[in-house]
Amino acid sequence: MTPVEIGAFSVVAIIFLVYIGMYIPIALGLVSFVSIWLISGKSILAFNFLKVAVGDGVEEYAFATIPLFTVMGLLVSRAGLGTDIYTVMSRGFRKITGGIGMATVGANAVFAAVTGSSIASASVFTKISVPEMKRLNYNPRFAVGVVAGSSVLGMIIPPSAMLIIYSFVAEQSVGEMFLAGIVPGLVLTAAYIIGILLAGRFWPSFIGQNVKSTEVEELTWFEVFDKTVPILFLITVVLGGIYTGWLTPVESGAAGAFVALIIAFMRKKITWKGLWQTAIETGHITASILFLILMASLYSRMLGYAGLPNELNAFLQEYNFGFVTVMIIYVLLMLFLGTILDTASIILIVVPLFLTLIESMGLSLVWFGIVTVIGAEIGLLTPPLGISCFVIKATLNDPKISLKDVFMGAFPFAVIMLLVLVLIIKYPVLSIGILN
Amino acid sequence: MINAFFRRFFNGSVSVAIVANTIGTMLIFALVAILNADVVARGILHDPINGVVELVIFSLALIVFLQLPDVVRSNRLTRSDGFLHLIHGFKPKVACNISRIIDFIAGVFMVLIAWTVWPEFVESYETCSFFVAPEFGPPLTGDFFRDLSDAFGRCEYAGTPGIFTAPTWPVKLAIAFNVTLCAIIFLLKALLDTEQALLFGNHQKAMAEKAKSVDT
Repeated sequence: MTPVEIGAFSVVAIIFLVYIGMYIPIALGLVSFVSIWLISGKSILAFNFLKVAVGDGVEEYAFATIPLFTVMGLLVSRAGLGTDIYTVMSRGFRKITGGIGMATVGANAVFAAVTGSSIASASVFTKISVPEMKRLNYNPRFAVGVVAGSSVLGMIIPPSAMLIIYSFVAEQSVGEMFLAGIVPGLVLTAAYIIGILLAGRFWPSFIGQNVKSTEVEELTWFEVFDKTVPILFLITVVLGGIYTGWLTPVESGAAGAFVALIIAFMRKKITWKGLWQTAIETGHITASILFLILMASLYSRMLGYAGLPNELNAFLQEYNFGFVTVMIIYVLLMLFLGTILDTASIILIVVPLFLTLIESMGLSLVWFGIVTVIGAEIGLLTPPLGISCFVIKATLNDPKISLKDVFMGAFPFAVIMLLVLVLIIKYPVLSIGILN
Repeated sequence: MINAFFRRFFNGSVSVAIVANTIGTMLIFALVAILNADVVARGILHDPINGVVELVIFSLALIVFLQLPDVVRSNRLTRSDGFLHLIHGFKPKVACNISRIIDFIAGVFMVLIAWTVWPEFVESYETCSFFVAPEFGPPLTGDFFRDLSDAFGRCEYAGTPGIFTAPTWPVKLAIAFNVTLCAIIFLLKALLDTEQALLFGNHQKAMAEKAKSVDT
C-alpha cells in the first residue's frame, strides 16, 4: 500500500474503532502509531513520534486554559448564576407567547459566556425551565427542544472547550478564536428567539395549547441588580480582559475562576467539600481532554507524514471544486459524522485533513474554526448520539417524556443551526470581523 | 488464588491512583493562585513574578499525568459508548467481553508509551549524577547537602537561565510513573471481571452521572 492509502485507511479504522466503543485517545494514538510503523517500515520512527507526542506535547502554556475555564464553569453552575439570569429573563419576556422559551435561550446565551460546556448548560436549564414550562401547559417537546437547542450556545459563545480544542489542532490563538465566536453565538441566539417568535405566530401547536402566561413575581431593582451584576462582572473580566489584551486567555481563565470562587463563597453556595469535588472534577476533565489532544497531535502528524492532506487538496483541485462545493462536502461530512461521533472527536479527526486545503484556498483558519465548531455541534442535537439530548433525558427523569420527544423537540433548533451555519459560511465578516 | 492476588494488586494500584489524583487536584488550586498573583503583581505593582510560564507548564504536565490513572480507574476516559450500550441491551455478555478486549488493547498501548518515556526520565535524571562523581565540574566534596545542591545545579533544566530554571526529571518521572500505572489498571481491568456489568447498567444512568457532576 502507498503511504496515502495507509493514511486514508487509518482514518476509516479510527472512526470504526471509536464507534464500537474504543477510548477515543487510544484509537487515535494506536492507529497512528501502527500507521507510522507501516509507512516507514521501521519501529524506531513510530516510537519517536509517540515519545514526542506524550513527553513534549503537553508542554504548552495555552493548555492551561482548559483546567482554568473548566473550574470557572463548574463554580458558576454551583453558585446558581444560571438560575438567577433565567429569573430576570423570564420576567422580561413574560408577556410574549413562548416567552419562557425565549428567556431560556437568552439565559443560556448569558450563561454560555461564563461556562464552556453544553453539558453544564443542558443539565442546569433542564432543571430550571422545563418544569416551569410544563406547569404552564407548554408542549413538552417544545420545552425540552428549547433547552437542547440553546445548550449548544455553551460551546459556541466563548469561553468554549471546543474553540480551545480547535485552536490547538489548527495552531490558532485561543484569544482570537474566542473573540471570533462572540458574534456567531449572538446571531444563533437571535435566530432561536426569532424562530420561537415565528412559531408562536404560525405554528402555535408546537409551542403548546392553552399556554398560560408566566406569573413571575415582581422583582425589585435590588433583586435585578443582585441577580445580574455578578455574572456581568464575570463576563467583563473574562472577555474584556482578552479583548483589551490586558490578560492572556490563560490569565483570564485564572481571573475568572477566582472571581467565580468569590461569588460562590459570598452566596454561601459552596462548601470546602464542594470545592474539593469541583477541583477533582476539573482534574478529570483536564486529564481526559489533554490526553485526547496529545493523541490527536500524534494523529495529525501521522496524516502529514502519510501526505494525506496534500493528496486531498490535490484531488479536490484536480476536479476544480469551487468554494461552494468544498463547503457543501465539508458540512455534509460533519453532519454525517455528527450522528456517530461526539463533537471533540469530529474536530480532532476532520480538521487536520482539511487544514492544508483551506489554507491553500486563502481562507481564514479562524473563520474555518467557527464553521467547524457550529457544524460539529449540530450533532449534539441529532440521534443517535446527541449528547445534549441524552443529558436532558437523564436529568429530567420523567418517563412521560421519551428520548424521541427530546430529539423531535430539538429538531427545529438543529435546522435553525444549519441555517445560521450557512450564514456564517457566506459572510465570514460575522466571525472574523471583530478581529480587525 | 491468583485472582485474589491480582485483585489485591488492583486495589493497591487504585490507592496509588487516588493519591496521585489528590496531588494533581491541589495543583489546580496552585495554578489559579499563581496566575492571579502574577496578574496583580504585574498589573498593579508592575513587578511580574519570574518563571510563571514555566511553573504553569510544569504544573499542567503534572496535573494531566497525575490525574490520568484516576480517570482510567473511574472509567472517564473519553469514549462514545452508545454502541456498547445498545449491545448490552440484548447481549450483556458480548458487550462486557468487547469492553474487556478494548481495555486490554488500551493497556498494551499504555505499555508502549511507558516503554518510550522511561528512558527519557532515566536520561534526564542521570544528567544530575546524584552522589556519583560527575564527568564535568567539581568532584564530590563528601558533604551531603553540598553535593546534593551541586547535583541539582547540573540537572537538565527547563526555563531561562538567570531568570527561572527547574530540573526536568520530576516531570518526566511523573509522566513515566503514571503512564505505567494507567497500563497496569487497564490490564487488570481487562483481566479481572471487575464489575463491568455494573458500569454498563444503563446508558441513562451513566448520563445522569455525567449530569450530576454539574449539579446546582
